[in-house]
Amino acid sequence: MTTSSALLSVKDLRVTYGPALALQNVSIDVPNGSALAVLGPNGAGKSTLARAVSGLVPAAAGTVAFDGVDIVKRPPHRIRQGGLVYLPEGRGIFPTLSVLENLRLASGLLPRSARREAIARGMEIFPPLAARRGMKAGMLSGGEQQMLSLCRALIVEPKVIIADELSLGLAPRAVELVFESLDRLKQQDVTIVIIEQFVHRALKFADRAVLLSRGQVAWQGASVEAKNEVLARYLGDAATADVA
Amino acid sequence: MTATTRSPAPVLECRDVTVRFGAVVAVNSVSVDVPPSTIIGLVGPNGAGKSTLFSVLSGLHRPNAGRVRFEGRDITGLPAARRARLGLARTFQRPEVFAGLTVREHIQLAYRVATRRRRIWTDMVTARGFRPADRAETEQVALLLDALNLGDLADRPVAGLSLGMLRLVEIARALATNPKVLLLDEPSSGLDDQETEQVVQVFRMAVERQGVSLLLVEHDVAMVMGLCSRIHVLDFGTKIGEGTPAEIRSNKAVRAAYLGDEGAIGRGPAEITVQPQAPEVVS
Amino acid sequence: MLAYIYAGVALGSIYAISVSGIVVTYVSSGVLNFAFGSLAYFLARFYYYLNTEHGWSQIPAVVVAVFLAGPALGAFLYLALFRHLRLASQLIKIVTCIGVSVALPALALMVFGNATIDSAPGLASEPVRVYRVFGAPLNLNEVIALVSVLVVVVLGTLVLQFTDVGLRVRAMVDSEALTSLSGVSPTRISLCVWMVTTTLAGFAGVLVAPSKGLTPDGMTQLMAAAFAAVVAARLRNLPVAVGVAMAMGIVTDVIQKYLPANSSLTHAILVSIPTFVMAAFLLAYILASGKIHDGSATGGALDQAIRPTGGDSASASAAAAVVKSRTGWSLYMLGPVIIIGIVALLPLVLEGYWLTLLAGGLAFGVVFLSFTVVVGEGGMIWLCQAAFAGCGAVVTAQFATNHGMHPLLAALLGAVIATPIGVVVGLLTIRLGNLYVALVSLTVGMLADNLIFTRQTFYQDGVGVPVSRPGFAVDDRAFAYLTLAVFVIIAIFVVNLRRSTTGQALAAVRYSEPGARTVGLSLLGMKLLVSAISTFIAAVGGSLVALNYQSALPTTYATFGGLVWLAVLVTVGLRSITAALLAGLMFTLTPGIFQTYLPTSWGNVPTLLFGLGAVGLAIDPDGVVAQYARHIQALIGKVASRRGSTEPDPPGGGDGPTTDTSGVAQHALGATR
Repeated sequence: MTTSSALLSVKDLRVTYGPALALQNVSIDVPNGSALAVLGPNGAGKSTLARAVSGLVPAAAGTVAFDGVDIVKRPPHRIRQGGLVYLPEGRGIFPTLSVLENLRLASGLLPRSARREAIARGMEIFPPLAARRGMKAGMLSGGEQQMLSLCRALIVEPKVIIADELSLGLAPRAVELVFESLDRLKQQDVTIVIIEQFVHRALKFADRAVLLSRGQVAWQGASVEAKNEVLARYLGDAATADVA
Repeated sequence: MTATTRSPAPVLECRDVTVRFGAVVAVNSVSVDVPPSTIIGLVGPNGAGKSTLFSVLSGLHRPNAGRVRFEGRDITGLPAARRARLGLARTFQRPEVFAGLTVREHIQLAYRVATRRRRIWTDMVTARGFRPADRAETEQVALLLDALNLGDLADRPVAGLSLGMLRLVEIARALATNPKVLLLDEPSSGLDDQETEQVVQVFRMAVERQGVSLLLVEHDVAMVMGLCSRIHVLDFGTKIGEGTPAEIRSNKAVRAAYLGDEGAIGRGPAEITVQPQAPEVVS
Repeated sequence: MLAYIYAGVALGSIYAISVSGIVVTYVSSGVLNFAFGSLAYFLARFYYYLNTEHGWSQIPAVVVAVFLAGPALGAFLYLALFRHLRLASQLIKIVTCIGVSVALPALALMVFGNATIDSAPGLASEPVRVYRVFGAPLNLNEVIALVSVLVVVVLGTLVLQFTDVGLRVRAMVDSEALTSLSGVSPTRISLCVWMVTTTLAGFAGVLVAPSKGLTPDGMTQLMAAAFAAVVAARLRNLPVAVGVAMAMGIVTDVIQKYLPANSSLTHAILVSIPTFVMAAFLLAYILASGKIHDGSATGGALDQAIRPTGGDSASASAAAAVVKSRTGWSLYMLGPVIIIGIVALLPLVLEGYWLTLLAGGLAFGVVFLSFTVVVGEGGMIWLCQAAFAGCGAVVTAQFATNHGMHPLLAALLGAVIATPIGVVVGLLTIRLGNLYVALVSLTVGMLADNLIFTRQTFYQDGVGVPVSRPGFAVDDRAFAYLTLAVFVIIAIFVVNLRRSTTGQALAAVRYSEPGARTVGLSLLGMKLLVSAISTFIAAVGGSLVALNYQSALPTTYATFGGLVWLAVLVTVGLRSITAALLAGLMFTLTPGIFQTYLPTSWGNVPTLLFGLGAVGLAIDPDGVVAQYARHIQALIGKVASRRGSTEPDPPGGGDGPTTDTSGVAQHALGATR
């Protein structure tokens, strides 16, 4: 894969977290319009990767090219303005603001005239949000909060979405909805990076997968080939053996 | 190490421990036994309640229900400091070290609190700060520094050490209190392969030489499988499996919890709307 | 009755404006503004300068002094200082604020002249017009205060609820990290907030000046009262803060109707109201939840997650500065010995005026050691050491002068009497987070100022109770040596404490409570020990200061003055006994030098420098001595390693906790080579 075709290209990224070495020599290319699953056990550095790419934590070395520009030293709000959206682990919403206010805040990146329409469009996609527009976002159910988080990303037409554990702690129906929304984005040619615990879901959704282990890329390749790799690394070699 | 280590009298045991944070049940009626001189593993996905259970065992958090016993004695209401003095030591997921002290001082302090507690008060007036440490202590400290390969760093303040080193310092500090049970919260996370190997060596040594029991929360399943004689698996605060490494490896519920097979994702707290289906067979 | 309510509402309005400023700054930028009082003083003094001294009429004066200078000052402070403190520890943030609050009044005196201001007019033109509303008098200043708070509340609510900027401020309160992920620059929002809240400070200052006077002390009291409401609001809840502030103002005035006028009891009750309010809410919160953390100002899980582990670089480098084997004697103890030796020669060289200043400086050195223990070793940010020193001083004077006791015995007794007070403060604050500790101790100090030190028994119309030095140390030279001897004894005690098991246990409790508890240490014991020792030392030092001036003058021990002491000490260094000694000398000798050799108009420069020194902490958290000591140590380390020693170089201040594994690997390699 050549770097020139990649919308997002991470090269030799190294992140230190206080005393911990969180990422080392991580290089990943994400082509425009593709979907990538980032997998790995807890503490492998998945979230750190997302935070470093979105500018929340500084990189100690390496580059992150987005749309051909190195963004590794940019503050998070500039990266967001460039069209890279990071939906953080937990709920990417402001719990004391109302649903509408959460959307208004997200729409702040659009020209003033386009905001109202963008919010209306978002609520059309997620009807439950329209019904709860005045409610504090913290009072929504887990699934609705993730809907809101996604809706915030949707209404500004992003180029890349990095979704960090969106399905964590959600009921199956809500997980279903989350993936439906991601599918919709994918069909609109938005490039998507998902970090997931639910390996099967993630691999079904993504074109390619990256396996992180102790802050390094342990394996990357087409997602159809990833399942055995994952099992081997999560449960030890014997696990694959007794299934096969 | 096999299932024969299931000895009659556990050093540390918790019975039906439940912890609630508001409406969320973080730990749901969990029982764990830690027999003497064994390594027990505690695994489970993110947010399964492992660290909360540790807080309950070490006395940093009071459970809503259930009892904790140490050598047969009920310690559920005992504060952390008292438990430490009974012989219950622990390390933390984010190392809780004393940034201003050197590596040596960490070990010294833990040793002194365990052996001569009164010195905390008497040293103040006996000008002990100007005299060298006594021989028994010096030997014990040197022994631990040596065992953990920390000799070169002994007189450096811990602020500025790598995470791997900090974990070793925490383990040394815990061992210096001469514990009967050592609780280890993700001792290998953030370490590289070499450091992980070193930590594993130390654990084996502690069990063999000092007769310490270890209870281990760990995400590196390979490490847990290799080290523990018995493993408990938590998911959403509930124990979903228990057994030897071999048993755990073939346990379907455990595999589902780790892989999120489609049938298994419905175990979200109080949000179950779909009946779990049989886990998808991995081809 | 109505008249009292009107006055109370006016006072409550001023409190409410202040708390709005403090709470909004805190929730959106993470800084609890301990400099709020000084900001208020500075801008109100500017208003006075324009309005009264240069004859501007009220409107243009308030526009320039508050609505133009306020935002400018706020923007300057944020961009120059507080922007860089985002990840700093609370200690650094608080000390920086204290630096600002020491420097600004000094600057005001230099810029606007140091005329004594007996009464300051408010926004109403003099003579203040009085209306009769429902039969009770209501003056124009009160009307203005009431209208102002209405405008602030209504306008503030409208802006916060309905504008984009307001929305972004509220988003910052929820999560700064998430706000920046939404494409909003947190720096710009914080800048706006600082500009607005500094303006509020100035406005509150102008409003309060007619009733509380135009002095830094008066403004600090305004702030301390406002802090009670801030605590009631758990630092975050704006409506609660405003409500409690209003209620406090009303109660303060209405209660006067039922109390005898001009009695000392009335005065005592009135000044204690904020303390009672604070104590009541703290108690309620502790009973309800067991413990009060201040945690992080802005914060969701994400903000917690991206904060670097192992504390901030400041505390880590402060820790790294205290290195070396701490058993037995070592080369590094030579430095302090030499410096104390040189200081010991000074009384032989200096004469008259300078000798007096030297003796005073040594006495302050003893007081400063109490900060070394409580803040430096214990990590507890106590702002009431001046009050403890004052307690020691007034008790000494009572026993020595009125009961004929030997002065040194009286001083010892004073310290013994003061110590339980410190222990009580320690006990009160044991379950509180750092910020609350600072807030509570400041209030305790203010209470001592108002309740104890203003009593005629101690105050004696501003001259204090005289106290004579012990017979063998009447002249300045002998007294200087006596003081130095006391300093050395306490210093040795402190060094032993630090190096012994006790000190290790203190450090353990300070750096990690869970870590300390699971090793088997009891927090209660250690914290009370620090409280007792530091209070004892402060009281002994305070007595020595009194013996030096030969009078226990309560104004010497004003809490605001205590902030200046802390600023001086922090400038030199918080963690070494040498720094305490040098800071003491600096505190008396620098003003002496300025008074003798420079024009009087420069008289406030030393205080300004002390303040700026503390502000400098934002840049280097260790203070001057530690900084130079580190350079010297590094040098010694290099020389030693050339001789084949394996002593590691102490890590530089800039490294902080981010030293990575490869650094350690290199170090290990270097050591085996």
